[in-house]
Amino acid sequence: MYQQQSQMNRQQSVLQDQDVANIVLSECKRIAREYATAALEANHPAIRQTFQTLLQKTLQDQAQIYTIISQMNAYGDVKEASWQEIQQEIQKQMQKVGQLQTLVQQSLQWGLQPQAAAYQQPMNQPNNQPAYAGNQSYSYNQAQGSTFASGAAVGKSAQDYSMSTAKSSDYSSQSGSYSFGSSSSASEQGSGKSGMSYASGSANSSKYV
Amino acid sequence: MLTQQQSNKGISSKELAYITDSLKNEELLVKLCAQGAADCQNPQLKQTLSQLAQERLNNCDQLLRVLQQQSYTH
Repeated sequence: MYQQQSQMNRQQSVLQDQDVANIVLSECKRIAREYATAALEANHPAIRQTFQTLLQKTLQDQAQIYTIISQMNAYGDVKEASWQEIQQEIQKQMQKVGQLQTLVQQSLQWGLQPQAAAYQQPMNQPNNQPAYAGNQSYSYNQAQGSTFASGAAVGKSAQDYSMSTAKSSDYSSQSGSYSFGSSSSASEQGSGKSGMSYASGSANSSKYV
Repeated sequence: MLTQQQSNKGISSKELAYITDSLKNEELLVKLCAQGAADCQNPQLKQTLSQLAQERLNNCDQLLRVLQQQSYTH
């Protein structure tokens, strides 16, 4: 250490180039994490947008400084995964995804019938569910309204979605994959992407309320 | 694209805390980059750090601006 320093012939700073670069890199990583958390927990659309933009910038800066560090060979070894490891993982994951596909197919076929029946039920008793569903889509619009232009359409499909899932509780307990089955059955109904993004929206909005 | 209600909505204390923390982070990074740009020997690193210092300073401005905009609605 001491030898290295005297060789450098630069005594004004203990930190060398690569140290400084690595500190900046760590700071960028830490700041990116904080921006991600801040964006996830933001309430106001404009503020969420700001955090999102700054997160993007921070990621770019981090990549830039990392490129320089790796060019300086100052980051240390980045160990590559072995061919065998990759092949093993591919086998394992392909099997899992296959099973998941079968499960989803089964849930969809299974879930469509009870859901059709459940869809009738709220029509007969409109007094308990619509208030809840309306509330949900309201907070959803607050959280995500600025990013989705089709707010009204999304709100409507979200209503359908929350009604059907709320009523088909027997279906969800039996299938064992509640979230998966319900969100893909929402897409089956034609609400498609909006049903899925509603699911993420409601997860966020539960923090705001 | 904001509805009337959304644009009138004020800033939460949590958001204020995040903005304050972010400003602190950005300031620290600006100083770090500026110091690094002055001290470093590697010309490429020097240039990148001075560029980063400037960019991060802009980020501080952006955070301040968003805070000012929100204060008008109060």
